[in-house]
Amino acid sequence: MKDKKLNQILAAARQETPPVVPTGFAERVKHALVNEAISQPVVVAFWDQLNRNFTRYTVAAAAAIVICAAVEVSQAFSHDPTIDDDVEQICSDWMLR
Amino acid sequence: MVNDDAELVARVRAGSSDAYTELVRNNQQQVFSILHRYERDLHLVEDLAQETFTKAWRALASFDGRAPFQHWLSRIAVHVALDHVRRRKRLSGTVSLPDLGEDSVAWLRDELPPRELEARQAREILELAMQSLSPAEQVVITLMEIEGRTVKEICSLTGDSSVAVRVRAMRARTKLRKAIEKLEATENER
Repeated sequence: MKDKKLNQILAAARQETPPVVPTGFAERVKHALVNEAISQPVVVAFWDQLNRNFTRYTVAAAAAIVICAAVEVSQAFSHDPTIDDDVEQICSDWMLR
Repeated sequence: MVNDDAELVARVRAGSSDAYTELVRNNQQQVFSILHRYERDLHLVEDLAQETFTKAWRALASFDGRAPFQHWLSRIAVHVALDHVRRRKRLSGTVSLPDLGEDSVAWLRDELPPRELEARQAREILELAMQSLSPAEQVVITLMEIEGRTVKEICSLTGDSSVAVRVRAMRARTKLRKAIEKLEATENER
């Protein structure tokens, strides 16, 4: 008996007509998506950023190595005292004291 | 429509936002129909539909095209509905449901012939009776008994196993029957 009543309710609920979609709904969705895209800051992951700038970082590192090597070589050929010589001198003075 | 949708999805992926508006137009009625089963307030239904299409837009990269776009979108709509039912259930202690209308009460008291129950009244009674069900049970019983979907379809839409769907449907029916009996008793006492 009670099952019959439940079935009647479910059958009647099945007959309910779906609502009419308000006009301009699709356009409102589009606006919401555009606004969301503008308001959200673009977050780039560390690895993505590294990947994107990898060539630049490589060139910069290579340039730094070349410059250091060139300075070292030029100082080796000129007989001016370098920082290394000064440090060595200070150490030996201290040990002999 | 299916081919149209596949073509539109390809255009959206190529960067056309107008294609997505077209995709929304093609599928909006279906999404509204699904969501309206869980919410009577049309403004809220519109908000939920917007949430569905926003989520679909964000997840479009994961759409592999194995199933039709419409089916993929229905799955998102069902999950949005489930979240909504969960939120409503959490608030059910603070928000009171409207009382039943006179016609619904008359029908419960057997004062109306059985065939005279209208969809609107059935919906009123169901909404009250559904309060005794868990959100997942509400979704399963709605998909099975009101939308007339098969167990296989429900599994695909909710992501649950067929055993879980069958058990939920059975429990939901029992709980609904009891809730209607209780409503009937309450209305007869008044």
